[in-house]
Amino acid sequence: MKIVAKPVDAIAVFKGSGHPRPYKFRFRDADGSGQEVRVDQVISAEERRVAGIQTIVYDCQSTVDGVQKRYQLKYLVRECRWELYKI
Amino acid sequence: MIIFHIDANTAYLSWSARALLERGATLDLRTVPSAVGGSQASRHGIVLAKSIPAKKHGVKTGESLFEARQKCPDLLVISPDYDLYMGCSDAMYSILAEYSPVIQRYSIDECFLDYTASAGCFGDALAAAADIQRRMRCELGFTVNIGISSNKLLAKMASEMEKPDRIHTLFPEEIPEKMWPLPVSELFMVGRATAKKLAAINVRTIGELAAMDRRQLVAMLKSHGELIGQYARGIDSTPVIPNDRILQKGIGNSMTIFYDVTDRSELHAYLLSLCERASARLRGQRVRASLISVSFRTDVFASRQHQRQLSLYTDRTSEIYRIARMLVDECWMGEPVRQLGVSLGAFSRTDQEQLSVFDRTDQERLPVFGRGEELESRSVDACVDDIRARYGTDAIMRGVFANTTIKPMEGGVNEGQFLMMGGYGL
Repeated sequence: MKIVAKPVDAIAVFKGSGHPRPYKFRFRDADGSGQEVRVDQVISAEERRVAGIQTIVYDCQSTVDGVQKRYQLKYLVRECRWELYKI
Repeated sequence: MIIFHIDANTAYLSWSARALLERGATLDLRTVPSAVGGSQASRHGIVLAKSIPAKKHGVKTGESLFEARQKCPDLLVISPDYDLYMGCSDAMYSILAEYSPVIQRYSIDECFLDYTASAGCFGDALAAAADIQRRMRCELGFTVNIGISSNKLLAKMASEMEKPDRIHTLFPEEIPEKMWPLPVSELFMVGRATAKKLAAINVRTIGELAAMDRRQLVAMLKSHGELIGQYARGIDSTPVIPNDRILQKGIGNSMTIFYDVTDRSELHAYLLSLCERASARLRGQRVRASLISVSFRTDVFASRQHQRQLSLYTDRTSEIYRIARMLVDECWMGEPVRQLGVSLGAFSRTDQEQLSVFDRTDQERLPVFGRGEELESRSVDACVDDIRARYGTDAIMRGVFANTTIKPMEGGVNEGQFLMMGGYGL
């Protein structure tokens, strides 16, 4: 997988305990067209603080255009922001 | 006693490099000649940190970007990100805090850790240091050097030895082998000026300094000679002091002005805005100062400094500015000024006060417009501090700054709340 670190719009579920869970997200391609992706499965979630930046990195899986894809989403805790981290 | 000194390798640079990689950059700045430097447009163009490949080209911390580019034309320069650095420093501290409660944050990228009492929990010091080092690398993504010894000085000397990502020990029995062959300028507290004086009497290595007669050193360098003589023999008895127990010894504030100032009233205005920040920090620390010093650097990089010891302690902006202005007027000959600074020292705590017969009580009372009352200037300062804490530094300002490019409070990074690199003496 390669780091892309692209900011995305996201909907997440915050339960009473545990990490927030991404539900779906939308990112824009270079040509401006948006694509919405539903997060089918969160395989793992890991808290990280590389370079002192507190983040939660999610290993996820979704079916996009009939193809099953693995990717990573990142939640930047201090900035309250989601990124498509690796694809 | 077992003391660790933990030092982040090429701190600003490796932190920026790691954050860039995390944002998808393909090039690791640590592997190419690169530097962190201010913007040349606003004339803050000096090298704050450099990569190890840049060091091999002879790039030095503190020199101008222009000089650095002459030595290394393809030098990559990035701007500093002080919020990121503070975050990295905090993360580093939080890992260290798991190993010992006694940690001194010596500067933004260096900590001393007293491991003496922790050995019972974590075992052998070398193994614990290796564990700390591995966690810094894996969890935070940057490397550190760790020096281990029986006092702070030797631990610091050890961590400076070979970089990056190394653990060194320098216990007293290892001094003759590991420390004495080093050039004397490598010794902590021996700067350029001292090294030059020592070279004049043929003292070139730390070992030669250690062998010198104490009385000769004291005669030559006064109390500083006594200190470095002890350091050369590896003697240092200062404990690791957690930072909340350190009484700060000085507050300084300086700025590089984006043009050369030649007009006296403009220079006074810059000085006032520097005093505003310095004195606000003084009040924040709940101390008063009795030593005021101003320094400036001219367009040809000549520096001048002038200071005065007062007979009383003060934390009032107007009083500090009045004396700083007097000092500037005494030593400024009208040459173009590039950099200006004010620093305050010789503190006493605000809750203790030595009254003076000669206090200028008349200056302390200000008329309040339209109300026929008088207000103490101390409560004005307190009021201004409160307004600024709540609504920002621009919320209230002195009339002299209205319609000028001078900010009401100049100098400092991150609103002046930043722990700098370099430390402040053991």
